[in-house]
Amino acid sequence: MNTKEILNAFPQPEGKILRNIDKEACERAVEQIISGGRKITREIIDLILEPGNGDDIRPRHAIHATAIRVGGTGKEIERNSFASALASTLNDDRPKAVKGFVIRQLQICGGAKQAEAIAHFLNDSEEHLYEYSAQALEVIGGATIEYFRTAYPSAKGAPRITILQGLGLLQDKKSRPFFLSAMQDTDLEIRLAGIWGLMRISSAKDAELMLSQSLKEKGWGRIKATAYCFELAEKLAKNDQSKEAKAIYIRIKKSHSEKQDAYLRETADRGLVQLK
Amino acid sequence: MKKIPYSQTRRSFLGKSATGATAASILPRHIFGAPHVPPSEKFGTALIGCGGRGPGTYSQLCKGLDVELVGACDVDTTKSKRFSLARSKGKAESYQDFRRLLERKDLDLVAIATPPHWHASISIAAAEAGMDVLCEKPMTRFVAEGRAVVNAFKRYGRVYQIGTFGRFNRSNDKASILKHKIMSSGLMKDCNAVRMKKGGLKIKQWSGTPGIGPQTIPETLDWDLYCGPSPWKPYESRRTGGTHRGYWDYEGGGMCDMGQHHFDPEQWTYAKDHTSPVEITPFAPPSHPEVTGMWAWVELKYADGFKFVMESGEWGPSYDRHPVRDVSLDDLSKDDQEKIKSMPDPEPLLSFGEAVKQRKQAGGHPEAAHRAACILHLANLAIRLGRKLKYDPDKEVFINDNEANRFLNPPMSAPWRI
Repeated sequence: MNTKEILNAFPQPEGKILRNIDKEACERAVEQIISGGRKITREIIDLILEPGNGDDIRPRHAIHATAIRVGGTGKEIERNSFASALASTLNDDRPKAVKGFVIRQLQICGGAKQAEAIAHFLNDSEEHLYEYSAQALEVIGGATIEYFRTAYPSAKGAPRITILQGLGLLQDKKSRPFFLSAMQDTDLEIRLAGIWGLMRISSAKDAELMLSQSLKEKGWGRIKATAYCFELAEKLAKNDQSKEAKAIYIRIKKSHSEKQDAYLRETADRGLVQLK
Repeated sequence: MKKIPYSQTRRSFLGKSATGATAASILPRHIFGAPHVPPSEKFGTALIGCGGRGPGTYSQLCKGLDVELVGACDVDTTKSKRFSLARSKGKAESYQDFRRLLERKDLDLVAIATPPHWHASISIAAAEAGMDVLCEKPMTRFVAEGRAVVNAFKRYGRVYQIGTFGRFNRSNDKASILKHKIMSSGLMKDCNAVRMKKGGLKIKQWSGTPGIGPQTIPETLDWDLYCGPSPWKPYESRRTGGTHRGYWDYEGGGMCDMGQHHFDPEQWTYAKDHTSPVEITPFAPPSHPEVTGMWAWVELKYADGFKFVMESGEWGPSYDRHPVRDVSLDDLSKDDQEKIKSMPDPEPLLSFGEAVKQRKQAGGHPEAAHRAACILHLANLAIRLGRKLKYDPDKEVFINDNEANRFLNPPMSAPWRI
């Protein structure tokens, strides 16, 4: 099958939806894409356009179908081969929106070998590439932490909080200084991402700082920061650090004495009971 | 804080109460704590997500309770203003950002009827702010969100009810109660029952439209806030306003739109509120990256052998792997049948209103709602991935399938996180 025949296996909308789809034809086409290697993959990617610039429903469908079908046990070689072919297109002179689509497919089938190509976009604000890049790296996992660490110091705006959040999601203990610094930021959401990051790495020694910061916050900031303190207490309790967890619950009880904070005192009491 | 007059019953309660000195506004639920709440107390309420199902969901929230609407929130301000006007003559404050609404001190109960990609994050935030929640179905967009909701409501001792109510009828139906007893007894070994849902899942109706291309964002809509925790995409009108159901980023097609209505009561009947399927087998063509589409059937097998089957009836072959048959008392030995007959009936399920007043768990509580949503998510993932999946219902991960696991807890867009 050539590229055109492969793509013709996938449906065009009828009555706005993809109602007539031939499963066997699509599966055969996916096999052809996998066996066709980098050449076929690149030819299909070449047909993907910026949104609004023409009809590329079939090429997008074909690439996605392959990304999801190469997953699972026993398909490691095919998966790496296809993901490498996808990643190779990220170096090309293509519209950023097309690269965004490719990165989203690598979130499904990419691995550590494709991480460097994906990480190149961690600080790229165009077409939300930073977001797609971070999310793909996050699902690939711990092997990608260094890319986040490297990208964070120079990050600004939306990429900055995304990368910081990625470090928290990956529970990177070495990023503790980043989280501590973020907690002092002028931007509320950065401060919250810092507190969340410290919670994610179960940083018992920073519990007091987190609690103090939660008390400085107002409104939404206080709601979320207090929640992260509760979550830290639960994580510490699970890690056999009951003494540290207890200190958090007691501090929250004492520091939230307003009537409208009754539910927080009750929450702390429940946490204390769980420790016993 | 918004000042709201007391009702007579409310005032008389406060006259006898140590908290009477604060009688200038509706007192939030969390001032009184649990569980001794007089039935006459007035609750401050809000609706988040005021289009589509919103007004209906808000009505469910209010059933059996004395309430006053204090806030209406929608990323499209025309909808929140319209709802406030209709339900409070415009007195309830209109919000575009739910974070500002949840900061209110006079808010006790929140109805959530946004598209599902927001359900978990807002539910959790409401619990963290001390509020009880009635949330439209489906409960979540992906599996890990459900566990996070369960944990949050347990942590904060708040009441949660999913916006589907079929299980309340089942819990009063003799035949369903008998099946519930049989399946919860532990006496049924190697169960070969197969329960099928054929049709009614609106597969074509809630399939998305691919390839529309970017459109101009309406002035009253905050599109970035609409996308929220889901991946950002260029605005297309069909991604909003009901047709959002056809996009993986926000819901999960007719499966998620209708599935929780059907499988939530089934899950109660067959005593599966505490667990999830262990093996999921689909028959479906490769899915499109953005929009939901066609599938033929999905079989979901539990650890005890019991199976749910969904057959779309709108595409592809019929399900023929196992004959459809129900659970029966005859499946058990005479001795075991006697044990079933002597079992007490299950505890009555509490409505949301009863649960709020009694500070107890509602019938559609977070764990049950999460497990019912998992049926839909696992089915949809098998459909999307096109392969048999083995699932660990305790750890809530797929076994030996790292790529499938990526869909159980996909990263959220910052600053949203669970």
